[in-house]
Amino acid sequence: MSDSRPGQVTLILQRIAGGDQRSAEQLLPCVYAELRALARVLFARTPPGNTLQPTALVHEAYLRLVGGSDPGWANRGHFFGAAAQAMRRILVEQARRKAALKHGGGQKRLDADDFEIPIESPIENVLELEEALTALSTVDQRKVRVVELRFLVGLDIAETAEVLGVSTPTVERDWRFARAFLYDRLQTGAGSLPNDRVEDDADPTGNEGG
Amino acid sequence: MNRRLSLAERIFYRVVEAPPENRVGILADLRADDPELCALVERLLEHDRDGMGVFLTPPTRDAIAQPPPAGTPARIGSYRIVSVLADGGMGTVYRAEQTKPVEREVALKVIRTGMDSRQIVARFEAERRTLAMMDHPNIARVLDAGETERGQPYFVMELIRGTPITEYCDQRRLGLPQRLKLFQTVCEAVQHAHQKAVIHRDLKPSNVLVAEVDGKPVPKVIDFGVAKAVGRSLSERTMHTIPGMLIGTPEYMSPEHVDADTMDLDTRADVYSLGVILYELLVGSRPFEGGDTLTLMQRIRDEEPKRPSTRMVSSDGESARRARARRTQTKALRRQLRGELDWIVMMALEKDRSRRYASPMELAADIERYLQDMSVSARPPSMGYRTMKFARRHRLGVTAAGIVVLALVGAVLGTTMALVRARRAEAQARAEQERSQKASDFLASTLQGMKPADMAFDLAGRLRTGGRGPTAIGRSGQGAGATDPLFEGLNLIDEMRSLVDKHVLDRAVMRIEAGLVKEPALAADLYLAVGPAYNVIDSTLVCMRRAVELNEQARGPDDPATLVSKRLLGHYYVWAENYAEGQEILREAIESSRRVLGEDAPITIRAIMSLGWSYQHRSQGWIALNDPTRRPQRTQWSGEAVTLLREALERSRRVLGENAVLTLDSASNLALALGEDGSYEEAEKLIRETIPHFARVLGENDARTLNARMTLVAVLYISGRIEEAILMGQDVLVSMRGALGENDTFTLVMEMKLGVLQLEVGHIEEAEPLLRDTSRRLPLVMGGKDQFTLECEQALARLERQKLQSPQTMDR
Repeated sequence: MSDSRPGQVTLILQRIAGGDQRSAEQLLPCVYAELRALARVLFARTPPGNTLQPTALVHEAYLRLVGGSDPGWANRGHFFGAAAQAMRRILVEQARRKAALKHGGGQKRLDADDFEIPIESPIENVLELEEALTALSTVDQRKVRVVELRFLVGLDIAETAEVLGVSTPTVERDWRFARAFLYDRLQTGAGSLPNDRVEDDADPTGNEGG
Repeated sequence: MNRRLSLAERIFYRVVEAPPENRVGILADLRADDPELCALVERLLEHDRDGMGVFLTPPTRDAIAQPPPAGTPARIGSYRIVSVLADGGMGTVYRAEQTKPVEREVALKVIRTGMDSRQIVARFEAERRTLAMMDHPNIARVLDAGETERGQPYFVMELIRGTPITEYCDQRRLGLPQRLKLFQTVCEAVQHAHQKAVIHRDLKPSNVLVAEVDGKPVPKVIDFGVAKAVGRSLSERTMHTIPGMLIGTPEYMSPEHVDADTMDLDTRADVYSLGVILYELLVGSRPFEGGDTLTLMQRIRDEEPKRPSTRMVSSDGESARRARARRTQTKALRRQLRGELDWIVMMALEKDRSRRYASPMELAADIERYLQDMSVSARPPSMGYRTMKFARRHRLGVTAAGIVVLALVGAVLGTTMALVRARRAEAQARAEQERSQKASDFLASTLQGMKPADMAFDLAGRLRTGGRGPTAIGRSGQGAGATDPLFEGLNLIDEMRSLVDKHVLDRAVMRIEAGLVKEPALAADLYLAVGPAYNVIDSTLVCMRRAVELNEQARGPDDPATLVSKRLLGHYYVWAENYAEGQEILREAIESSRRVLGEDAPITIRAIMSLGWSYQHRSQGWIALNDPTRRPQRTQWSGEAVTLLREALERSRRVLGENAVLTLDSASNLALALGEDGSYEEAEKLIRETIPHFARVLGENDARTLNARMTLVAVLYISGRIEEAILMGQDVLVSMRGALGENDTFTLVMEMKLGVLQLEVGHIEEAEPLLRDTSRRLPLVMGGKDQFTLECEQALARLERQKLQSPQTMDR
């Protein structure tokens, strides 16, 4: 890992902390790239047959990118928020690639980017969950964040509350509804409500400004 | 923003946060406006109530990695410090990287001391060799020790990524049996250490972490030896004199540990701590908690803890939440805790350590006994499973009255033989699958490092001590053969069943076959244990055949154990409805047994009983078919059954006495066979006589006693005395409700059958509530697609038709 990289994330975080909101938009792509790069590095070191845990990846990234000095909760919050979304995107892409391969969408040539990093899927039907999360975002974006932070980053209720800047009961409440909603969605399938139309090619990071 | 979904969200919250009586109203309004949306909200509420299992459970991980605080060295010894895992009273635990001799991550614990660190390290060195010898899958290994540059002692341990056991169980909403099983593993680990003369001294949930390996929970006990090395005199004394400067919470400490004057701790101190953990797992709180340290310590020393079942207060919202975390409700939880579980916990928490369990293994064994007797109410077993388990606990030959009643009522409903067979096979398959899944689960979580030699050792030990299960046969204490080694052969099965619950099937079979178990005789025994757990009867048969093979080789064809295995093989053939082979083998077994052990040997008698049972099993099928053209055969079979079972009963009575379980089993099987053979009076007389014996020997509330009573109901029914059958059935149902619980599968099935019987005689008003109630509750317990729910639905349909035809049911 080159020296400039860790600095970049910290830099962006500092700018955000300093009130520069536009830097927030840079954070996500930066973290996203970092996670993928780090995943490749870690994967090379993993014993064969093992997969990378998403949560481990995120926390490892945190240590390497931010870790030198405690950046304080606000910045931790930004980092994990971005990391959660980035991880979600990575997992969805991975799932789509797998699905494409299965259905014969074979690649003619291998890109460096196409390199398959076996990050362990926390759930079997990633794509269905993705659709369900998109549906959930039409109700309340914060609930989606809660799910990402809890499920993909492994934060507990209290930590999630800190990251999002809300109280613990709020997170519990969000989590309760979100879980029931997603569960129902995965069981009954998409399109169960006429008002709910989901675009098939919706960008997973979508229009959710966060 | 989707308005409709937002509305759904709002209603959802309104309902869950409203008092129960208002909920219906809120939904009613929505239903009128937007029924589709209301359906969604109702589903969401149902999911919320139901818990959704492990859906979306956050994965375990360390707390958000804290970079080491300023001033922490980058390296300690040859370890690179990565992050802080925990910061406790005793010191700080770091996540560190080891580079030599192997690259891996470890946990490095630096002890915070004020004094004598050299002594501590020296003491630990002495311990270290012992600790290094501990190789157990559920104990975190201590790898290294040393001193930092600043003179602080440190220990290096295997890095365990897991959740404290109490949290884990709550997060996963594990029910009591699962918690108990997990706890047993912990006991075994601690026992292992005790055998190496190491006492933990600081057992508490944060020292018992549950990691997930391949999706299965693996408890790991950490911090062995650390407490001892650090030393009592230093740390614990500190607690008294400097309040607030805690080494750790005293909540899990045994009274003798807390009492500063007692200097010698033994293994029983660990047993106490285990007891506190068990308490917490069952109830959700500790026996003594809260308040300042000194008062706490005094209470631990002097005060009697409240019994687990009395800790649950029904009006308490807290209790409700805890009950939900155990997948049950407050009342049901209390009922489960009351009695034996209470007693087990309290014994572990005895102040006088001579009255405690002497070892963790004894505690685990008692729990195992508890688990054996408990009908599996925590999971929905099919009737087949219960009957199977039940039948097995009763040596595989006992009346499967449940199946008989099914067959009989099946005839009434006009089911064909094929359907009955299919249903039975399905129930059995499901039952076996549950069983083997259970066994697999356990093994997968403990297999790492498990050595088959240990398993064999375990088995051998159990055989030597003659087993402990209260349902073990051969304890009648009467007759010549009571202390005969032959009885040991009969105990074999029960002991191995308890082992099978802990060790997996295929792996065990593989290891057996790979010759890792050096003694073929033991291998045979293992096959006998493993076989019945398979969900495919063919696999069971393969195991049984192999067992017989091995026994013949290793022990010789005439050895009692060989004969027992033959009998079992025959039995399973019959169970698989391969009557020809099964009966042939049984006959062989009888002949050999007669020759070698004698006419009156219990093994011979039991083999005769099995053969008799096989005929009865065959003729049962006829009744379901209800085909008069096959009557002659049916008569032959039931006739044979009666003859053989009479012989078995006679001999057993004479040799072992009226109260031997073998006698009782024979009697009960014979009664059923007589009923099927048309000798109604004799059948009824016999079973009526036998029931009080069952009650006396095994207890009124023993499942077998209740089964014998159920046999009487079946006999009454067969003889056409439906009204009486109903009266009796009502009685039995009440007893079952009392003994097994009203939500027990067995009880529910009985209730349903009673409803069907009532319907048959046209008692619509009596039948209806029974059928409606069970049609509502059976699916909750059985899954909704099982034969009994189906039967219930069909009966309800018939009820509806009858109501339409009946002039009384006008309104409503």
